[in-house]
Amino acid sequence: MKRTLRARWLWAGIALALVLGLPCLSARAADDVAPAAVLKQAAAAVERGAFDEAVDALELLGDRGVVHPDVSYARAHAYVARARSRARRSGDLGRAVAALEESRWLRPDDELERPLEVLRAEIAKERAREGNTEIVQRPALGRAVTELFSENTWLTLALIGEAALTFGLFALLNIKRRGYEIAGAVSTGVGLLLTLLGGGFGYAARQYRLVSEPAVVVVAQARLLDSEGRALPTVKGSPSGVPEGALVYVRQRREGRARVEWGSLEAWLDVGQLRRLQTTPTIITN
Amino acid sequence: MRRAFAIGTLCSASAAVAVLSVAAPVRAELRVSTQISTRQIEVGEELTVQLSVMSDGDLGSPTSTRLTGPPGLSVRGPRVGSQSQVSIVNGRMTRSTGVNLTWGVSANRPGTYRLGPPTADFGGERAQGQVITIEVVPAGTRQRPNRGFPFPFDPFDPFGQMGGRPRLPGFPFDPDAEEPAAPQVPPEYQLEHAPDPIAFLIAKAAPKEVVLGQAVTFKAYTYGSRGGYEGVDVSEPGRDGFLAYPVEMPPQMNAVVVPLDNTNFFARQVSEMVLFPIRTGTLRIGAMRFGFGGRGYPATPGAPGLIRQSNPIDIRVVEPPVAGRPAGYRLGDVGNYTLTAQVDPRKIKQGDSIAVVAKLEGTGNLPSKLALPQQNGVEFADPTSIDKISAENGRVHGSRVFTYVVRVDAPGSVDLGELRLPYYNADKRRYEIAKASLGRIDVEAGDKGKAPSAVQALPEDRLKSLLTPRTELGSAREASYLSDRPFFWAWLLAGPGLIVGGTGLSRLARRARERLRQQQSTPERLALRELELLNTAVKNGDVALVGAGVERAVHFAIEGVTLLKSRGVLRSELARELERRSVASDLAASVVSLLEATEAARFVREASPSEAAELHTQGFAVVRRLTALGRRKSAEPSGSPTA
Repeated sequence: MKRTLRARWLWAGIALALVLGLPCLSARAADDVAPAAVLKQAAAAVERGAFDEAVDALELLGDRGVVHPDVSYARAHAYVARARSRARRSGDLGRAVAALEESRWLRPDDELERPLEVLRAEIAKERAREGNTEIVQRPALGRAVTELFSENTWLTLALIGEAALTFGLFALLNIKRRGYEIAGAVSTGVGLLLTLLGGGFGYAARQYRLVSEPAVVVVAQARLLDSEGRALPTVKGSPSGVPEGALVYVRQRREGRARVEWGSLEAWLDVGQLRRLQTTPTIITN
Repeated sequence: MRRAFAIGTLCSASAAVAVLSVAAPVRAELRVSTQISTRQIEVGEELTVQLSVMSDGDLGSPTSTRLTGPPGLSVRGPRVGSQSQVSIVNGRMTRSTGVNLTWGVSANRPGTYRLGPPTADFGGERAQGQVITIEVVPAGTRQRPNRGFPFPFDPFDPFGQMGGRPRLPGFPFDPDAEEPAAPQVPPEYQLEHAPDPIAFLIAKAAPKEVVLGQAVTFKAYTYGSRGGYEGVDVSEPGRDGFLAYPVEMPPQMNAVVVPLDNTNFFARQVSEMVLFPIRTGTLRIGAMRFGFGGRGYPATPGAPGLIRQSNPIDIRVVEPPVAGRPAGYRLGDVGNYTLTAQVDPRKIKQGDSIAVVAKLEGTGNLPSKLALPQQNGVEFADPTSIDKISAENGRVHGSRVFTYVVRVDAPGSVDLGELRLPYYNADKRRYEIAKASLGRIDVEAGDKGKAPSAVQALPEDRLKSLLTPRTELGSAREASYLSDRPFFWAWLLAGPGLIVGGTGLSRLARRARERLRQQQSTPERLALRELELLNTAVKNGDVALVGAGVERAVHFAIEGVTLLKSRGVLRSELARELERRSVASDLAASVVSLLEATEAARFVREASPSEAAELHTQGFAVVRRLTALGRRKSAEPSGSPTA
């Protein structure tokens, strides 16, 4: 009897300790990362000119798996600040572009088009200063058309088309009145078109999303390679490398190389010259 | 040592401002020296010639390197090495860069030769060494030195086996020498079995699972069972993905006799390297090739000796853990380090410079960068570094001295912060930080006023207000895609599919109903139905009604089977007509007889259940025989006779 009572007390004590201890532990773990605090520290470090400290702190957040649009934005801010300073390092502007692209990917509503344009223009200006010609790579037609709208927009269009098609078919096949037959035929035609268009491009957008991941070149120029890692021969009129800040889509990785889609061109690049963009936030905030 | 270090710091500090004023690299006078490993060689032996070029400015890469010799001499190379050093003379700090060009020279006949001069171009300026005279004597006539290398290290022949250079005592073995007495076998030479009865090469690497930047020790051992041997046609293992530090082998190393499978093998360590992985994944240390040369070793066809290769070794390289990783850690910084720093002077005027000399010491692949304490008004220039690194006992250790010139524009008492190097200590499996505090300096305010920002003031700075800092976490939602929802695509096709499918099904059902109705109104079915309807009349004994019904049933049955409209046929001709339509004569007769009976029954006015039942039964029998005939006819191929 006494032993049973003692065992109960022991279990109760363990349970209490767990109940009280677990939140403390999780709070400590949360403090360990504390992205908001790091954001403040990084901004303060940039303000006092400690750009490396800011960049290192924000990169460490990324290493720990913290993905949030404002963390990416803050990283872009730190890289831009360092790029403007005497502590500037090669690839800072490319990394700033990567961070901004990531932020835009994570929160598409953010107006980051202009900063990205300015950064890329700055990179192009620096390349021109170093005697490099500007490389204009036309986007692949399929991806360009698909990216006119977001995947969900295409699919919403397909759903509207489906509704029209459903009504049209019903009227055409089941209501034997002239007016309904005409309306049904028109609705069927329009609905079929919208369903095919929206469904087709929605499916293509989904495939692009699933089979390729966006990345940005973070070196002055990433040399185009073949699948064995040999530099592609230089051909007059076609680029031999991908410039800093260019957005590419990685389709495959192998032995330190990545097969990328850059506009209408497909080639291999050294993985170390790319910064892969995170597209799903790990911290969800309202 | 520490005192000398401090003096150097003091001198470099005093010269810091002067160095800063030299903004662009200036090419200074080239200092050239020529070295030769030996002036006398045998035919087939090789000597090395080294041209060292030093400059106080930026030397750049050499072009048009050249060392020519008369016919009979063979020249290989050059191998290019570089060096950098900071020296302080009379308080003035100068940075020198240097390039070493090393050629290998061998001769195929005796004589005295004039070689060179060795030359190289550096950005249009020519560095020229001295002409060298060497003597080549017949093979076996030169007195060999007893110990050591005459020259520090031959990059073309790390084993000293190519050509006829002076042999290391104890290795390679003299093929004519007697077998050495069996000493105790050191553990690293011990094996369970000999993979080859004559000779083999064993490579070992440890550890096989490392973090990026952690040292891996590679060792290779040769084993020969046919007496002494020398190394011919030796090649290093491929080590793509590694940074290699060859460990200098002891100049005198005796062979070890290792008994394996009842045979004594003469074993010797022939290579040792410390490898640092520079990328993650499974990296392979390739096969090392070693040719056994000696009387007992049959040469592999097309090779100068018995060629054997070592086993390739896979090393798994992972990133060090993310947990506990300090900010500023750079992948690959692994080892165990200490950091010390000296700052001088500690009292300057605004806009002047100080020297910060930091010494990083420890074990591992010494990092080339330190984390600097940045702040507005304090600017660290790129450092110069002097290395003292050696690889011994499977470890790379040494020191790297970084000298920074730091310009200070912030007035007052300035806290310089600390230099840091976060690194991963693989032995302790944890991150550590080597730190060196720089302390405070007093900066006397000058005419320059307020400290400038670390940010450059560019005339057209479009980046200045490009991004405003964000210090709060705004909203972030996980993207949701319609197409990721289950059954989305089925749902998309559901509406039209249901309409088309439903309409189609409805039409099919309608068609099936129609067909069923048609099937039910065939003459055979009508005949049977007529008979079934007579049940009540049979029970009541209404012979007239039953007779009329049976008559109708029989006519339906005849029509169904023979397509003959029998009502319009005379009774006397009916049998013949039926027979003409393949109805058996007895059945035709039964039909006629039944019809006559039904005709007679019409006039019976009294109820007679037995008569009615008999008529009904006969009607059933005839109709069944007729419909059976119809089924047989439809089953038989057309044209075949009917029973």
